[in-house]
Amino acid sequence: MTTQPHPLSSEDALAFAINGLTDRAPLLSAKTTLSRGQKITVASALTLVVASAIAFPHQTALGLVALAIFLYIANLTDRVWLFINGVERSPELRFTRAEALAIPDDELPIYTVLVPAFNEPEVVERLLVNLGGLDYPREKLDIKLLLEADDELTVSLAQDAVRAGVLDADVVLVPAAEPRTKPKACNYGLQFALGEFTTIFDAEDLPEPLQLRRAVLAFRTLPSYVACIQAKLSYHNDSQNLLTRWFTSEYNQWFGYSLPGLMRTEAPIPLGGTSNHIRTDLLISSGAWDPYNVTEDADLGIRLARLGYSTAVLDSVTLEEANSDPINWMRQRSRWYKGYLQTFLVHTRKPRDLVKELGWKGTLRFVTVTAGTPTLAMINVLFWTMALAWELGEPAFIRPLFPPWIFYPAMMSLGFGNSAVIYCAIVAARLDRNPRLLGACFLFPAYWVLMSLAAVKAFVQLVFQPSYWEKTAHGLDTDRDLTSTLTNEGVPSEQASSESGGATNGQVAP
Amino acid sequence: MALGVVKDLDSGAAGARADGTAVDPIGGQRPPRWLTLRWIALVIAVGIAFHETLTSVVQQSLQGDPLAYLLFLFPAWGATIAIGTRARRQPNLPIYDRQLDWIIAAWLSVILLMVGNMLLPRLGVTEQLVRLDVFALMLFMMIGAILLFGTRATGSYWATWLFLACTWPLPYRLLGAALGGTTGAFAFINVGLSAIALVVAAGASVRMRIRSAGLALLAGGLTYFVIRSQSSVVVQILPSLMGLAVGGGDALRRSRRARKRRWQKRPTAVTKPVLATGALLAFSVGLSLFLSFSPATLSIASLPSVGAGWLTGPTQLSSWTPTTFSSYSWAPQYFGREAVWLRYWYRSADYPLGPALVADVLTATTVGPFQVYPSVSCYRLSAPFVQATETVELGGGVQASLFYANSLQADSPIDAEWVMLTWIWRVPDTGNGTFQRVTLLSVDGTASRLGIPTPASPGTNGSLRTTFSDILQSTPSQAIPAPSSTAIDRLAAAGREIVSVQRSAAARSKVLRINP
Repeated sequence: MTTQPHPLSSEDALAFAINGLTDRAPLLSAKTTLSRGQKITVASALTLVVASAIAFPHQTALGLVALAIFLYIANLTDRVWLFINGVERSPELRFTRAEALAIPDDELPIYTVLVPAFNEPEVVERLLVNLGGLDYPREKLDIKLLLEADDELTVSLAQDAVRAGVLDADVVLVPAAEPRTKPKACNYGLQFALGEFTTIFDAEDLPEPLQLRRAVLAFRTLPSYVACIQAKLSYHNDSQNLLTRWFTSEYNQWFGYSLPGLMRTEAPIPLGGTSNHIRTDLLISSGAWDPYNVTEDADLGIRLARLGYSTAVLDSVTLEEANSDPINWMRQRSRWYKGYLQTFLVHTRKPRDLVKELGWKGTLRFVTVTAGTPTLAMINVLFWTMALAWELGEPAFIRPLFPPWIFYPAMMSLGFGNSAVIYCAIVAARLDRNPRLLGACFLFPAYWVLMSLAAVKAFVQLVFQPSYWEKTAHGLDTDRDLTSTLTNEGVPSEQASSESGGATNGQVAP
Repeated sequence: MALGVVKDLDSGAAGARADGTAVDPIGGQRPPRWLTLRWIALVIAVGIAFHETLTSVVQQSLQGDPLAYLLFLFPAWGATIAIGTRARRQPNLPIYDRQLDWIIAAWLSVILLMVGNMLLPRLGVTEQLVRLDVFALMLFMMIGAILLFGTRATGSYWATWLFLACTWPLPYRLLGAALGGTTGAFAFINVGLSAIALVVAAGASVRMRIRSAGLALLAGGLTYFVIRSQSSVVVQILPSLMGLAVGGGDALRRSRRARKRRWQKRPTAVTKPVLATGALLAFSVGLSLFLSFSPATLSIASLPSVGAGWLTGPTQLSSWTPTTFSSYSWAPQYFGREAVWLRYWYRSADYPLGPALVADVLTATTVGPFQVYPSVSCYRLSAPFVQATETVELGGGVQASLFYANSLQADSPIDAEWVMLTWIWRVPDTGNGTFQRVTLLSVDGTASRLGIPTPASPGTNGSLRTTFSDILQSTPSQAIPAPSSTAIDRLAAAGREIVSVQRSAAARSKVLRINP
């Protein structure tokens, strides 16, 4: 693919990338963390709680603890319910290799692949390796490598590679401007997109070779209100250390079972960071990504759902690199939590509209996922500290906070709830035929500690640096030969085995 | 792992942080500054916050307690493993996060405050055995290291933290007692720990590790045989230090890599921790003003000096007749080479079939172990114990502590109840060198000897049982019934008579000395 002239000027494209959504629908942008109404609501709620705490300290504390326990139970129940729904796997879209290859090349549409990168000079080499494996006609692949204009090293390497003819991609230079976020770069690149469909891959992603063909097939099979196809994400370095095992287990659960569960229950789906395939025209008309939201993907998924579109989950895996360093992991997770909270705040600015668009069930699930997940992770710190304080000294203020009607549900949540989460992880590992993850499942409580620290950081940042993009370092597992994780079909061995067993028409590729 | 592909990714922060610190550029090549000043600040902060702990360790070492290793060997072991780790490990990943540093340090600080405020006050009799203040000191050091050097730098020395945590006084003492409790036993343990520290620290090859450890054992052993007649502190410490020096020096000499990297500056995320240093020092001052971690240390000068003690036989009492006595051979293992434990049985003419009284008298030349192994840790107790909040006045400045069975655990509070009165005094005629712990025991409502707790070596099981009993016993929702006043009165009366008899004996002894 060569660089093609485009009528759009760089200034206009940048203006759209930064302010496109804000200008079109200011209430749907995270540029402002809290709207005026939300500020009044939050201030009123805080005033009420403080006043109540002064006037009725015991009752207020009791109420807050009861609320927290209720949220725990609701969240855990919902998680398990989603998992059970997802285990059946029926809502996932599955296409065999033969079906994917059956589409003649000339009937395939142009497909835009956006690859944002910043300060990643090695991206050029990785792109060659990773995207080079895609089974899609080269002349119909519109790969756009989105680089910040002032990232001189990466830009020069990429341009050299293009000149030498080894990199078949457009190098799009995103003018240096705040906010320096991935969605801003994607918005910029999107305006030069030529494809009917658009997807995003990170530089280190290793998509299943037939993923684009399968996505095309899915779009052709599904009704037009399906705007987005989310492919499954998994990790190739799960055996690197305990953290990567935890992370892989969590990811496999989320993409393998919880997302299909959400799909089955017709709830809005917060998209994953990459490998979401979207109709380009709908993407642009919906305002594209919010450059101020640090989980722009999740936000886009909810926005599409509010606009009446739905998302489907495709049984095709993109392998990523699991974060293997605890500090790096906590930085990444804190960004996700902060982004979830931004998404929650953005979409609850007009609660009545939200309920009207998503329905009660969808709204509750949206609240549970985007607000409940980070909030409960943060509250965990508080409850663990209280539990430790009780063990250490049985301070007098704790006992009255747990009368029997709170204590027993709390113990249920602690015992049954946590066991259920671990059990789901074990079941997922078993279903995925990945016994390497079993040991890590039993050690999940230590993983929750990392999550909680990340959640505290997320809340602090939401107040002081709401749109600050905590970029994740990649390339910590460069020793591994990724090709060893693929079968001759180009899919992970686990997926290959499940795919062959669950192929819709019983055909197994040679 | 190819570090070249990893970048510093605080891109949006442009290298600047809210607290004035900066993030290293790619590869973390910016040399750290003021490392020595940071270490000085950390040591000062520890000194301010834990000066009582350090003082009590010195005092107890002088009283014959083997805690001197905390002053001399603890830092040496830590430094050895840290140097070894530093020489061996790859450079840290240049991924830092000051916000996380502050969050983690804040959370650990809350835990430290809870330990100081909630757990330490709950430790009654076992506070000297457990020495949680040493654990708190290490936690404080870790908080300081996170603030001044960053979580990654602190965590990369995890082997050092783990080793030091494993050698805090509780397991150290238990191991020492299990090996005989002598100066030689503790010297042996110290040399062994030096060898283990070198195994952890020295080189990547098994051969080098074995060689370093072997040299440490050899040098330590030889040193011990040369100086074994010196004072106990010297005998316990010097062989271990000599072993570390010889084994460590050899490892350093043989490790080219270690030599090469010895003075190489390591990048650290925290380049100018001005705010962090201020916060740490302020925290240490706050701790020193409002929280005391150190357990109370027995002062020899404050011990009552009443009479001739029980050195020649049972004290004769008016209403109790001594019937028999027994001795226990394990006493020297825990209370010093010359320690003697004698149990005297008394029977009262007033209660021919009633409760018996026993007096356990522990005589030793050092007072330190009395605090480490309190009375309750030296018995097979029939039920969890409770310590009365008030002491019992026995006259002559002697104040006794009262313990009794937690009657809630017994089927019949009356039948199963034992009561214990215990105090420590100095035997004056022997100068400052002989101390006695007298423990009076009785049961209420039964004539059986079986009801009276039997002396048992504190040992590992006993010490751990007492420790867990002390730490884990919950605050009861209902008040524990105190033993019947008859039992307490009986013990108190006997105790007062013992003190009185001893005082008279002391007076007679004085007269005899004046008019031989």
